[in-house]
Amino acid sequence: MQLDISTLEQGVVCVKLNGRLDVDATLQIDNPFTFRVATIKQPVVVDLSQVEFIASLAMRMLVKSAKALDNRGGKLVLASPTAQVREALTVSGIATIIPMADDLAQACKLALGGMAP
Amino acid sequence: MNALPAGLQRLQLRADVHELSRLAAWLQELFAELGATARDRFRIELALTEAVMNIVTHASGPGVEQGVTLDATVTARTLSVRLSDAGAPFDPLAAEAKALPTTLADAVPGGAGLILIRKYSDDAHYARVDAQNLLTLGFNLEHIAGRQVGVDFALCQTHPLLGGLPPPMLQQILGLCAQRELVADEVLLHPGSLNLTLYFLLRGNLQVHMADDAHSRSLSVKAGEIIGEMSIIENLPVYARVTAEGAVTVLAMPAEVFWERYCSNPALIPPLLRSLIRRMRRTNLALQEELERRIRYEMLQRELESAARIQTDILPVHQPLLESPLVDAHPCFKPARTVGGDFYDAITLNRHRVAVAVGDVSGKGMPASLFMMRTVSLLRMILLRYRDPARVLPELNRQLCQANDECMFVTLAVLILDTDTGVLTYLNAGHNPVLVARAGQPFEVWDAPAGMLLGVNEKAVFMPKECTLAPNDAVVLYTDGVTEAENADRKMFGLDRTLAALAPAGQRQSAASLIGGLETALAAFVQGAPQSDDVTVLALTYRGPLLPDGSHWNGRSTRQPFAKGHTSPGR
Repeated sequence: MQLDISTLEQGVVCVKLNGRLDVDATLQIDNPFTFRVATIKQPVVVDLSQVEFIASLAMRMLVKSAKALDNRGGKLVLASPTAQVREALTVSGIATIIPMADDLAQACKLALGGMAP
Repeated sequence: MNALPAGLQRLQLRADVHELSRLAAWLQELFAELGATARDRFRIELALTEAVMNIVTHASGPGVEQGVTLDATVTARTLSVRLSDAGAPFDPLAAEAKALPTTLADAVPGGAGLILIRKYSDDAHYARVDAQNLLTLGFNLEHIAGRQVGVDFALCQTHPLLGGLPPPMLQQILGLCAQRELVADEVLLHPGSLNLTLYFLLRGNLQVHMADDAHSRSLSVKAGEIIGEMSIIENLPVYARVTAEGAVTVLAMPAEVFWERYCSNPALIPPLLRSLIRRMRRTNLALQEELERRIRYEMLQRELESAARIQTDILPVHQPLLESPLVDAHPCFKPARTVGGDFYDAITLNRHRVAVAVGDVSGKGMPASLFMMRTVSLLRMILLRYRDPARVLPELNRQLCQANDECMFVTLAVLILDTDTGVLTYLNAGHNPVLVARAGQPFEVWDAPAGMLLGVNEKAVFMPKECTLAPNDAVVLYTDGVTEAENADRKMFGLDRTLAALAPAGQRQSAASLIGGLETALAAFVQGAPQSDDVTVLALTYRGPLLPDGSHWNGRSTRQPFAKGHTSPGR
């Protein structure tokens, strides 16, 4: 499981997850991911385009980080999930509590637009 | 039955989250064995991961150490996995699922596992047996058409939408695709199903069926084209049924591969769009033609229905058929199709003369029906115009021969009865002989020269016959749909059965009871075998020159005035 971090326009941080977000992978990246995401103040976009599988443990990680960021006045947006990951996020209710966008540009807009002035 | 290799039938995991990677590895082997679709792989792995996670992280009690055992059973279309563990009793299907949070602030991380187990399995059961939790999850496997074969790189290169890729990239993309071979008539796509695959047609033709009825035409998709793109682009269920015309080879590219790998090559996009637009144009054209064809068909259907109405409207249906109480006439009319060529008629010519007729126009359907209506109209006109029965058939024949480019013809039997004298004139133009029952005797064939068909030869000659009926004598006219009616063994009803069915039970048999007896015998004979020809019968009983009280008829109609749907009598 890879974790690629880059900066998009206007300081939006993009965290790109690569591969399968199964139990093993999530156990590996949970700490580094939460640390990177929950300790910054910039809005965060999580790029899911290369995620082929997602278990509920990974969803839990996303919710945990989104909540932490929310508490600090930040915002987390999910970007470009594949059809199956999108379905799983919808079924489990994550899609209603964390904003989701079809591509990075839209995700950036959502992440910035939701910021407190 | 279990079609799985022994090594794949069971997996034992220790109670440790790190054992989940062994589950994933086992499932990969299982999926390869099943040839499962990407969607099935995802949901089966997710449901089982959550079920195992639930046991591994939450189970308690002394039996926990034994871990969890998974037993897989496979049929052609389903995978069933039973998870057993010796922990404390816990039914994940009965456990109340947490309500989904609606805001992030309300959300509590975790807890989605139970929801995912239920939503992603098609069938789930829990039982507690021998101190074990037994959870069985069933999955209906998506149908994948065809037989998977090795990807043929050279063949794929011949596809115009694949050949443009640089070979190393093509190799890479093909590594994520499957090549499948279909046999003739095998269904590649079912309407309404979810499709997550783009098919590149490598060899053979596919048929796209717009509608599921036999009349509907289909669109051909040829080697070098693609199919499934609509449902992938729109993310909507498949709209048409796609079948293999003969042997077909396709390359199945998962939607993700198409979007993420294939579409990332700008050079491929123009040919792809061109191919899509060409197909779209052809589809539009085919749909338009289909629509026009349907509209024409429906219009024709409506015209046929109205023709059938006009046809039955022209035939007399009022009761009694004839106004004179000195005769009793009754018809039986059963067209084989909506529009038939048989007809009957009953006309009151004047106070003491009546005529009845039965005819059969050559051919079936609309032309026969039109010719029939022409014949009926002409016959009525001629019967009313000429007092001399000998002039009726020659005049009718002459008129039918004119403007008969279709060379249609008609057979006809006409009876003209003088109710004062009982004199019956019998005219026959190539029709079945008339059946007659006289002086309480059984029905018999009235032998008379049949005469020529009408509408063929303007110079045809017809020989009228005459006899005198006594009170309660009866005559029956019929078409060959009666005698040639077949049962399931293809045996015909025949003339003998017809005569026997008409045998008079008593003296004064009504025309209606004669027809009823024949209809019953005919129905008993054919036993529901499909009717191939129109069936028409008309019975006429002569009551005698005087009314039952011995008086003469004053010419007033006995018909009910203003019978529903028909003109009032006396006009």
